[in-house]
This record gives sequence, structure tokens and C-alpha cells, in this order.
Amino acid sequence: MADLLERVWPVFEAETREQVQALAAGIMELESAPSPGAVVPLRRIAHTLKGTAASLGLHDIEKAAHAVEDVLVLADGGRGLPAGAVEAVLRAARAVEESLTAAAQGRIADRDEVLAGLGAVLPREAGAPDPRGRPPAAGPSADVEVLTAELGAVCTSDGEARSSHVARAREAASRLAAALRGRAAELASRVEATVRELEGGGGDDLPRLLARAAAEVVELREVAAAAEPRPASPPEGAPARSSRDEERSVRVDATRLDTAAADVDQLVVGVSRRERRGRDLERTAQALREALLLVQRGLDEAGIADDARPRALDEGLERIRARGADLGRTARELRREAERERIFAQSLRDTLQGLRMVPAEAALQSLRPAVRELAAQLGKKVSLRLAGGEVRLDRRVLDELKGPLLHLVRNALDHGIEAPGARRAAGKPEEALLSVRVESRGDRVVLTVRDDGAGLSPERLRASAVQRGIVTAGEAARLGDAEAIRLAFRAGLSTAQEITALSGRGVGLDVVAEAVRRLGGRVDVASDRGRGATFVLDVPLTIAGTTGLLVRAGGGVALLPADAIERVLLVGAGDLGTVAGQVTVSVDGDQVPYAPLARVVGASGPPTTRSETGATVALLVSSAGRRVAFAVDEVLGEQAIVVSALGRRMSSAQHVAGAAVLDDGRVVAVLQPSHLVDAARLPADAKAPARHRIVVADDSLGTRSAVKALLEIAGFLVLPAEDGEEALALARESGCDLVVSDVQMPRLDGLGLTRRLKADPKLSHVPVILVTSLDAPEDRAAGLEAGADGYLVKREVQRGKLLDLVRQLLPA
Amino acid sequence: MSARAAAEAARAEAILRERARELAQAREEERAEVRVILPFEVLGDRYAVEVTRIHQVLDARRVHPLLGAPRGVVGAIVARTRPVPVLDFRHVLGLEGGGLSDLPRVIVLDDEGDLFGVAVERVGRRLEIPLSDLRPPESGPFAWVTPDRRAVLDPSRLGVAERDRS
Repeated sequence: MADLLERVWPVFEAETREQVQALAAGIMELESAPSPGAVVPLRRIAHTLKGTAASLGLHDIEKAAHAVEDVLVLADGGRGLPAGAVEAVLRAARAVEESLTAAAQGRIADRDEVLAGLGAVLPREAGAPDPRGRPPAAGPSADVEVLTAELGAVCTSDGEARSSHVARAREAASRLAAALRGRAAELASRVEATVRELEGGGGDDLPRLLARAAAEVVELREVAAAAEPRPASPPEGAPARSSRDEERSVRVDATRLDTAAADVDQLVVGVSRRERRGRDLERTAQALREALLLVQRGLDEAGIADDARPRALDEGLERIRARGADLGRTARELRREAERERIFAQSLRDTLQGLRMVPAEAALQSLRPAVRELAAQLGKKVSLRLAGGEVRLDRRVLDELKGPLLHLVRNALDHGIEAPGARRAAGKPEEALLSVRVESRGDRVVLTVRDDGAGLSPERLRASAVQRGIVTAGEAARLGDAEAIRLAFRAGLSTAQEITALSGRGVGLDVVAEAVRRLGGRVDVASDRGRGATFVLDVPLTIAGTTGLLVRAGGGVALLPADAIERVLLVGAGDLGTVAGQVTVSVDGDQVPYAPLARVVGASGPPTTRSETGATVALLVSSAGRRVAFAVDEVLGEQAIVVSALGRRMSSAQHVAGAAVLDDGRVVAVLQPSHLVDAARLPADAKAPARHRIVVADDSLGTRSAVKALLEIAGFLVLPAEDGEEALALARESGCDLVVSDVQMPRLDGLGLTRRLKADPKLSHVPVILVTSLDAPEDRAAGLEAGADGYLVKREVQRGKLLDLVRQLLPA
Repeated sequence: MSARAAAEAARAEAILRERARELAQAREEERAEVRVILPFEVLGDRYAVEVTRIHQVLDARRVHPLLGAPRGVVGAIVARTRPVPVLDFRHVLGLEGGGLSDLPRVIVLDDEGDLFGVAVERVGRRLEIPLSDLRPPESGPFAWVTPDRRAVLDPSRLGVAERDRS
């Protein structure tokens, strides 16, 4: 049985998931619009699920489905469902769905509670007929379904279980034979006869008998369906495929599609490699032609007449020329073939991509039972509006988004939407509105979760962020309300009021943000106090191969997805400045944060190099509308890449999205733009609380700013001062690890500052570097005599000597 | 050949066939009770990993450094078209070590589909160890200890923080 279960599990899991989702959607539909025919498809689903689960030995699911069936019987004939029935069925549907991913497959953790919940809604009159003894649904079509399910179960069971399935199949066939007329009745009798043969055990004939019965049932189904008027349309969300569609469709395990897609991605990379080899060969052929010309010219210059040349030399040259021409031709053919292959591979990739596109409907509908259940639990009234279910997106994107969407919805219900009393008091309708909308925007999809609850509190988020050391009190105060609300996406941030047993299950909004980032998307939130909150997830339509920009930084190379790069900048020293402690570069009049890429990714290589003109190459990277310029050593080029995830062993390096194999075979890290942008934009103190603090004293604003920027780019925290007095006060009040000072300054000059620092017992250990334009030996001697630990002339600052000296003097 | 000789030959063949069947059966039974491991060495200590957990064994010269990789990850290697991270086994064990040149081999392990490599010094020939001879380890990311004091790795516990284990 274990082997059988393992083999059929993927199909069973997928089907069961569809069935319970359709059941959940259908029961709510039934509640809002009861009709005589509406319960029939739901009973059919429950019955089929029961039969399949029983045949696989999944008794928890079997019992739950059985109990659901009993409850659904109560709605037969257009009667309404009793109180609590919808909740009980929804709970059972969720429990069955959760059991599909349980450690023990198909085991329902809270089975007894689920069954008790369903049992509680059943009538308790004495002598009431046991609904379990009744057929699952009225009408021939329901009996055809029973027959199909029971025959299916016969195939996968043995012993007593098989006998009881055969008996139930025979009963269904017999009912059909009695209920139907004409050709349909004749077919039903034939099925009944075949099943009777099966009842005898079947022996070696079992497979043949089963095949015959199956063929007869297929025919019977068609004839019976034609004879019977169709019931009301299936509930929203229920699978409603025609038999023609089913004939033309094949159910494929999604992992097989993923494997095929991964293989095609490798094919595309292989094509790139062949194209590159073709180009290399063409260059070789060209080099050969040029070499031949050189030889020819050499012979001419040597004055050797054509007729005086040895024949062997002529022949040799001719052969080289011919082989060179062959090489050129082969190279061109290779390139053309690679181009053709690229077109086919791209077409294959597009086809596979199309196969993976699924409508968002199922994911949206799966929110309904959760909302319904949670609202009942919290005593809140909520109307859930879903829109955009027809938008199709990559199944992998949708799978990744299911958890975040559910979390946002639970979060809105638990924290955002007020209790009916509070809403009344606030002048709002008692029933809150929660909407989830999916919209297609070109190659991206935007999912919006909006509620009309109380909104988020920027004050509480600021206080919580300070308390948890995510930002300092000063930074929190400087954050506008919109920025403060975005703190909700930061790891470890929650407030005591916001944690409950419902949505505070160890999953925070940071996890939502991370899931969206992993997809290459972005998440944002807006809140209107007292009027609600809106979460927006902007994700790519597909996860596919992408184009990467290859850069050199920190002694290594890495790729950045090209679509995250707005442009490449050449940054001169004069373009840099600081805004609120953050080094910035001026881009189109905006001050954009600027950081060396190597520092942000924690690479330990040499510092970013400048070109001969003194300019640095920087990539202007954009994520979620925020921009950062990352300094790199060199941009090496662009190429098509396939990003492969590196697994749990790399999870601590959040700036790495994965790795890609270049067309020359090298493996390089693919960086995660959104994480880089976040890391570079973190408030200085939050980013490196233990950063060295350096007081920079200079009465010239220009020099002070230049030295400040230089040190800040290198990662130090700089406290600027206009003269020695201010520097001394800063060092005493705020503390510092090093002082860089000009010599000639008003009030207290650099020498005086050095003497005072060295005389202060609390500051005497602080190294002092004097930076001045005075470079006479006696000036240097005076500085060192005052106690300075380093002495630099200003032109040496530009050559990077200041940084070397600072690093040398700072405590490790 | 006389009738007697033919009967002798047939009997001998039947006996041989029966012996072969018994031997094959014995081997099957034995196979069910052993674990096949691949031994390797790091800093002079002996370790091993079950061959069923090995995806591939590669030359460490094919490891490419990764910019910004966390400590303990020496780079990435392509294992059957798929790039996988490579861990320095010394770092996994909290030991000091030299450069990658001291670790010439990479054993690519499969942790339920999550592939990763460990760079090691020397890889030996596979060994069969009776299951009954394997003992539980005292501590560390190991599944068993062999009678000759080889620690057999548990790949699911290598290079993953406790909280990340599922």
C-alpha cells in the first residue's frame, strides 16, 4: 500500500486540493444562494474523495469526507443548511488540505475536533434515518459518479475492501438500470452484469473485466448525460471542464514541467556558448588571413619574385589560405546554426512558459474559507471581494505568493479590521470590506490587498523599531509616516499589540517582503489612519531566464539582473556629497545614496578603483522605486543567464539571489537588487552600530566635506567640526575613535586640539592625524611634538594615504 | 559421452546452479544489512558519507569563488549543469585550515534535493560496513561512527543553522 500511495500521491494530492477548494467555494455559494441542484456537485465531490481516500488507506480523509457528505445531505432538495454547517465544512476542507502536506501524509492533526464539528450540525431526532445509508446524491448522474469512483477503488484495493467496493458498484449499476430508460438502461444493465462477474472474484480475468466495465461506464456516462437535464451551473471555483477538454488535456506533474524548463534554460546557455565559439573561430580565421598577408608582404619586401619562390612555399601558403577559408566558412555556419537553435530554444521556452501559466482564480478562491473561518473566530463581519482571477501568471510565482497573500489577509482581519462595535462607533458600516485584486501590467502582475480597517500606526512602528534597535530614536523621528509604516517589513519588527495567536504565528511581514523579493518583486504599503491599509505586491509574471550585467568588484565578479539597472554612471569626486550621514551622488538633480558594491556584499577585496580620470564606475540600481548607485571596478558586459538557487547553505547571504554559469563556464553569484538597495539605504547606525567614529575638524567647508565623504565611503561614521574647540567638545560629548584635523583653524588650532586631547585622560588614547598644507619639516615636527600620531599634507589625502593611515591607527 | 557421464554432468550442473543461487541469495541478504560509504580525510581525521547521499565527486579546481559568499562557503561548482555552493569542511567542523589548495576534492551531497558540495582532502574507495557495526555519534553533524572510528556525515545537518532545519 505504501508503494501504491507513493506512486499515486502526486495525482491524489493535486486532485484532492482541487476538490476541497471547490467544496469550500461551493458551500459558500450554496449558503448565499440555496438551490435544489447546487448541493449535488458538492456531494459528488465529497463522495469521490471518500472513495479515493478509502482505497488508499487514508482513513482520516475518508472519515472527514464521509462526515461532510452527511452534512451535505441536509441541504438536499433545496433545503437550507443548518447553522454552523458552512463553518464545519470549511474547517474540514481546510483540515483535509493541510493533511496533504502533513509529515504523515493524509493524517488530520485535529481529526476528532473536525468530526465533532461536523457531527454537531446533524439532527439528533430519534429514529432519524442514517444519512450514511442513503445514496450520495439523487439522480442517475450522481450514481454514474458513484459507479466510477467505486470501480476506481476496486483497482487499488484488495480483500474485503475490494469486495465492498464491488458491491457498492453493483448497487449503483442496479439503481441506474432501474432509473434509466432505453439505451441508457441497456448499458446500465450491461455494467451491472460485468460487475456481478467481478463479484465472483474475477480471478485472472479481473483486469479484463475491469477494463470492460470501465469502457461500459464511459459509454453509459455519455448516454446518461445526454438523457438527463444538466443541473445548475457548478459553483464558482469548481472545476468545470467538458469531457472534450478532458480528452484533449493531460495532467502533468508540475515538477516535470520545472525539470523540462530547467533543461531548456541549459539549452539556451549552451546555444550562447556555441555562438561565442563561432565568434572566436571567426576571429581566428581573420587572424589567419592577416598573418598570410604579413607573410606575403615579407616575401615582397625580401624582393623574391613570384617565379623565384620555392614551389613548396607557394603550395604551403595556398594550403594555409584554403584551410583559413574553410575555417571562416565553418565559423559562419556554426554561428548561423546557433542562431537558428536560439530561435527554436526560445520558442520551446515560450511554449513551456505558457504551459506553466495558470489563472490566479484558484489562489484567490482559497482565501475565501480562510477569511470566513477567521472572521467567525474573531466575531468580525467581513465582505471579501476578489477581482482579477482570470489573470494568468507563472504557477511558480503563484505558489510563492499563496503564503504571503494568506498572511496579508489574516493580518488585515486580525489587526486592521475592527470589531463591529468599534466600527459602528467610528461611523463605519459593521461589515468591513476586504478586497484582493490581481492586475496584469505588461510583464508584471500587481496584487493589491486592501481593507477599510483602522490602518497601521506609524507611532507604534517607530517605537517598536527603536526598541528593537532597528533604527535609533533620532532616525525614527526623522522618518515620515509613509516611511515609518514601511518599517513593518523589517525583520524582527512587531509590536506587543500586533501579535496574536492568529496571524502572529512566527511569520511576519518581513517574510512576506522576503518572499516577494525572492521573486524579483517589490512590496509596498500605504495606510490611511482610521480608513484602512493597502498592501501592494508587484511581481514579475514569470520566473524565467534573464539578462545579467557582469561586473568586477571587490576582487571578484558578479552579475546583476539588467532590468534592475537604470544606467551606468561615471562618478567624479565632485559628484559626491553627504545627506544626513549617507554618502550620495547627484543624479539628474536627485541625491541618490552611493556605496561601493564590494562593501555592501561584504567582500574583503581591494577598495573600488578609480579610472585614470579619477572617475568611478557606478551602477544606478532601482528597486521598489528606490535608487542606489553602487560603485564597481568595471562593467565587463551583458549576457543571457539562468539563475539557479543555491539552497539553504547560502541563506545567510541574502544579497545573493543565486548563481549562474557564464558562457565561458565560470560560475558567478547573481546579486539580489532589492536586498542590495535595502542594505545600502539602511540608516548608518542601524547598518553598523560598531562603526568607528571619526571627528573631522577643518574650518574650510570644502575640505571638511571632501574628507568626510572619503571617510564615509570607506565605512566610517564622521562627526564634522568647524574648529578645534568644536572638535574637542564633540570628542568629549559623543566619544570618538580617531580625530582628523586641519592645523590652521580659528579659536583652537590643530596643534592645540592635539595637546588638549592628549592631556585628557579619557581621550589620550584617541589617535590624531593632522592634515595640512604646511609641509615644511619644522611644521611636521611641531605636529608630532604636540602628540599627533600621523601627519599628512593635503595632496596626500587625494592619493588615498589618509585612508591607509586611518586604518593603520584605528584599534582592530 | 556415455549415459552415465551425461547424468553426472547434469547432476554437477544442477549442484553448481543451486550453489550459485544460494550465493546470490546470500549476497542479496548481506547487501540489505550493510551501508556503503565513501571515506575521506580532512586535517588527518577520517570521515565518510553514505554513497546514497552523494550526487557527484569533483575536482576542486573547478570551484569558482562567489563574490560576497558567507564565511565557510569557498565558492560554487557546476554539478551536472547545476551550480551548487561548496563548503569548506574544516569550517563546518569549526576547525582552522588553510586555503582551497589543501582541499583538492569536492563531494557534492544531496540533502533532499538541496545540493551542496564539501571540499575535502582525500577521498578513498567505497567501503561496505555491516549495519550492526555502526554506532550513534557522540555529537556533531554525523549519522554514525564506524568500528574504525570514522564519523559518517549526516548531510541534512551540515552547514545549516538549527533554526533552518526542516
